[in-house]
Amino acid sequence: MTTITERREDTVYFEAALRPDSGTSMFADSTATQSADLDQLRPAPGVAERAANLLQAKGFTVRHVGTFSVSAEGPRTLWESTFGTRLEVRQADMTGRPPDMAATAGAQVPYLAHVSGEPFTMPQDLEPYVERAYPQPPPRFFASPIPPRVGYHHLRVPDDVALLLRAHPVHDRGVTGRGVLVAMADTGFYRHPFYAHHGYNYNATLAPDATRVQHDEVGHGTAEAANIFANARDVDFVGVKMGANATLAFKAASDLSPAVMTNSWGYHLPGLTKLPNFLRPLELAVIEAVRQRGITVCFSAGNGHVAFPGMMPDVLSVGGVFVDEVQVNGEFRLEASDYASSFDSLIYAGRHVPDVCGLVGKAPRAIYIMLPVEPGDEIDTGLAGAGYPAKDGTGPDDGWAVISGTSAASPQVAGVCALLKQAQPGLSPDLVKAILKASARDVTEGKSFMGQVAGDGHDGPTGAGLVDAEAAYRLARSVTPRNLHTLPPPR
Amino acid sequence: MAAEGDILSAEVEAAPGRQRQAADALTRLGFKVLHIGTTISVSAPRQVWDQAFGLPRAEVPGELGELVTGVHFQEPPDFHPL
Repeated sequence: MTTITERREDTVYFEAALRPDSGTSMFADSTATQSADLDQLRPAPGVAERAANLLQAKGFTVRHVGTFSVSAEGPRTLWESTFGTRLEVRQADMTGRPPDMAATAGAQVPYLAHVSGEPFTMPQDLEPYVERAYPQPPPRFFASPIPPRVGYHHLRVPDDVALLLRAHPVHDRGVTGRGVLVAMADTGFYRHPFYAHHGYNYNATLAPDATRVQHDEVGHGTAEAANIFANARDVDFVGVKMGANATLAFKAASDLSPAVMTNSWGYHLPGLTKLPNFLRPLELAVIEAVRQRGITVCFSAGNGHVAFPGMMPDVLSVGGVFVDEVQVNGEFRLEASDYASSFDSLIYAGRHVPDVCGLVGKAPRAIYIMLPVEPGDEIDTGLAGAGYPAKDGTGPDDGWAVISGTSAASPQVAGVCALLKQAQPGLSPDLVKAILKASARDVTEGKSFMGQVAGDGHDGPTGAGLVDAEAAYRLARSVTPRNLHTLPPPR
Repeated sequence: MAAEGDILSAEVEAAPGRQRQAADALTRLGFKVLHIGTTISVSAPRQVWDQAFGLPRAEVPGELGELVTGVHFQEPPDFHPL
């Protein structure tokens, strides 16, 4: 047995095409299999087994006997002597492998291929049963559900993110976000095999001014959505692809009336004491979503940005904490990310950003979490190549990139919000925020992008600290949302 | 101002309770109404904007004066991964 990356130069892997009973051929022309009745291409009963027996008798190993072909393998010399032909070694470039692993075994995969122009003779005993036989080259992987390996400290979704945010104990109690709709407005939501292979309910739709629902030309939305599922694998997710108007995408997402919205974008408003008029419609839409529709709205705090709407009092503003691989007294060391924003809003008096934090890497580029992207998109190509921490060590079109920023933190926390909403559907946005802040893990080291220093208790760079899903769940499950109008009057 | 090609997107503030009438008027003027909510999301070619409001500074013309209280062109946001 072998794996796709462990092919050998002395073994040929081939498909032996069985001869159809009708006299037609699947090789007759390029459209033969499209236009023909499949029954016409079907071999007579027993042909496949007879071909397999003959191949085995010649020394080949038969792996599978199919309807139309037999899959087998054997030594190079056996193949060449059996078919009177010659093979050559070729190298397959396994798209998806990190460029900085080019020198390691498996980065270039050798395989045996027929030498063009060389004769090929079907043995007489096989002739009635096997029409042709072809060595099989390895395929190209455009987007693997399994990420590539890189040689530096980084996190993987879903497990590492769920572990560090302590979501696993909540999952073990059957609280996985089931029945909770989470919406996200972003650059697009490519149907990466990562999502299907994990069984996630991952859906995409278009804002009214957007196009190409199947694609994410940037890769941002496709990547960051994985952070939601890391903490809440059973949520119903809908991504709204933005067009030219971000406010419109936000409103389209809000109109779906999700329980939770997450937004990994914003506008940089340094030094402003008044909201620019062009952002008032977005401000209104956020207020409507939170106060009138009861949607818990998460926004990223920014990566050195003075971010709006992340600074709005109505939203859950999510900053960044870096978790080192080193453990101290059995716990991973936490520190404020120097890539994430923290600031006091000049527009909304008394508003500090962030409220709480998710997981974010460190400067210079916060290369920290391996996330799926559309192969060859802006992020995939922009970060590809050797040279960490400036490059992420993945391929330029492998469908994976190592990124984070508060763009990752907001959907992580949105996933935790979904857990709380499953446990207590009646929780208001304010109550969700209060619970997350009350249960967060204190972070006492590090400083934010803006230079604010972490310390004991609530602090500038991390707010209340790193979100703790289990502690938040323990609080949420006992909370009783009360409707003031049904309370008995005071005596 | 958010522009894709020569199409400009904006959020239009309507007078309270008059969103539908404002949307109708904008449609008649050649705007594509994309969403009606707390504000009205519209897009149109630059030429339509120029004729209806005047560019580069959009001013609400007389025929829309009772229906529209503000026009806000939208700018692309910053994404926060990098």
